[in-house]
Amino acid sequence: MAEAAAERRERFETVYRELYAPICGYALRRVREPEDAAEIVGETFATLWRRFDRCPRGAELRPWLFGVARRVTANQRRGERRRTALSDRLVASFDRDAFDRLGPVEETSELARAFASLSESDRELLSLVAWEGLTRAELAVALGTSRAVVRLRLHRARKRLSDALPATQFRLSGGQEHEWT
Amino acid sequence: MSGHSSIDSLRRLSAASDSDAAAVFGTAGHEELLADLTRLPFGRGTRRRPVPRRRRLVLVLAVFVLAATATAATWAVLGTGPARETTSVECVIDGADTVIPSTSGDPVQDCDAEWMRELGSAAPALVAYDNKLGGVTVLPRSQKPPQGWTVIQAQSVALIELQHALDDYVDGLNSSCLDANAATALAKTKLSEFGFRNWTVAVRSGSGSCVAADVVDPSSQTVTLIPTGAQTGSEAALFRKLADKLRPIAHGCERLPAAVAAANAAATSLGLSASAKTYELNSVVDDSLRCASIYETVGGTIFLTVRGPGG
Repeated sequence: MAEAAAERRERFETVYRELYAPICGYALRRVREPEDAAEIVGETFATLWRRFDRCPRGAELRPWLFGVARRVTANQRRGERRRTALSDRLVASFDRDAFDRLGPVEETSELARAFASLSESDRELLSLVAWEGLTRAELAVALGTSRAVVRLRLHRARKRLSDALPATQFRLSGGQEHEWT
Repeated sequence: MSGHSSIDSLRRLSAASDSDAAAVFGTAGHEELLADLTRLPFGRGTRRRPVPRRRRLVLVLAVFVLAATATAATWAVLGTGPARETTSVECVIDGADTVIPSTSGDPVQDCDAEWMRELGSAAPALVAYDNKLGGVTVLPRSQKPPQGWTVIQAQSVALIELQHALDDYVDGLNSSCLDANAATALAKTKLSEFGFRNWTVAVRSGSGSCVAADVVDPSSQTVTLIPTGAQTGSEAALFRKLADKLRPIAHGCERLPAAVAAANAAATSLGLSASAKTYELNSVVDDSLRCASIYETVGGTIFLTVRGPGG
């Protein structure tokens, strides 16, 4: 039993070291309060640890973990905030200089305004592609749905973003086929 | 605009790269979170009820006790070893479960105290169980435990004290920036002090300059020390200031009531409040001790444990 526990810890540590930065990125691209970001990171990896023997392996693990982070973030936005020992650990190590280096979120361009006008669901869908770099197949894992549904939702989200842009702006619906179309 | 360039455009709306974001919580945060995570109970689903900030961790009991689990306490149980050899306890309080660091070794006593803190009223009769998931769960006697759970009377006091002493901000690994050699020496001293013979101390490889995290694993009789990037918390952090104030008290030789009074006074002098749950003090009468011990650990709040001879 001790060997199994040690082997599990070792496997978990490997995954953790690989995905810690992407999950920090996910969190800090969506929330600007360090405490909130710490909560997302801590809760996401706590879920990974608890479900480590039952979560997807291989290529599906990364998008699955983004799906977990998405749910934690959504809960947080619904007001289900909590303070845990895990997030406090991160907050205790908060580096203000590093945080300041992240820079301000770009909010003034037409694209930014159009993006902000979308529903949270559309924004998250497009963000998972643009910011986390998920493919359509990975999106299906992250969202727990089929690729066909992902394709349809992406098409609609992209259309709504395009419609929200002024006529003088380029349209996002044109152009070549891409993995996120 | 092509699909690629549209993605690039949206990408520019994002302020943070992954590597920049990871730097926000530093190497210490990265390593300590890993250490805390791998101390969590394994393999059980958890739901938590929302709690306001400044409250410490409280978890929801999902429908029934089978779904109730231990969670993100720094002192959480280790793997699936014997329940007695754990250093946290899960208290089911008014339908919600809270994982707290064990204090006395008597899970019922610890949960009695937690019930009073949470609800402000005395707990009903409680029973502690080995939940067969590697931990101890305390339920009201009126609540039928899931099949297979067995009554447990006590946890290992020595193990609880060892965990407190290692995590301690007053004199433990978190008291200053200890290098691997100093941390190993400290861990060996603590093991000896609490009667753990034939245990080994291992230092996990890493580039951190301070060893501030540990994993105590009774199943392998090993304390694994984990280098982290830097000392946790700046000198200005309240928990560090409190540790500085507690150190002379801990190094003196007070009986329990005097040590408790002095610890409370130190905390309140820094603006901390037990009623606001910015710190929590647990005292344990232990007449086998000549002088009181004071441990400070930090989790969802600042935990002070004072153990010593009664009045």
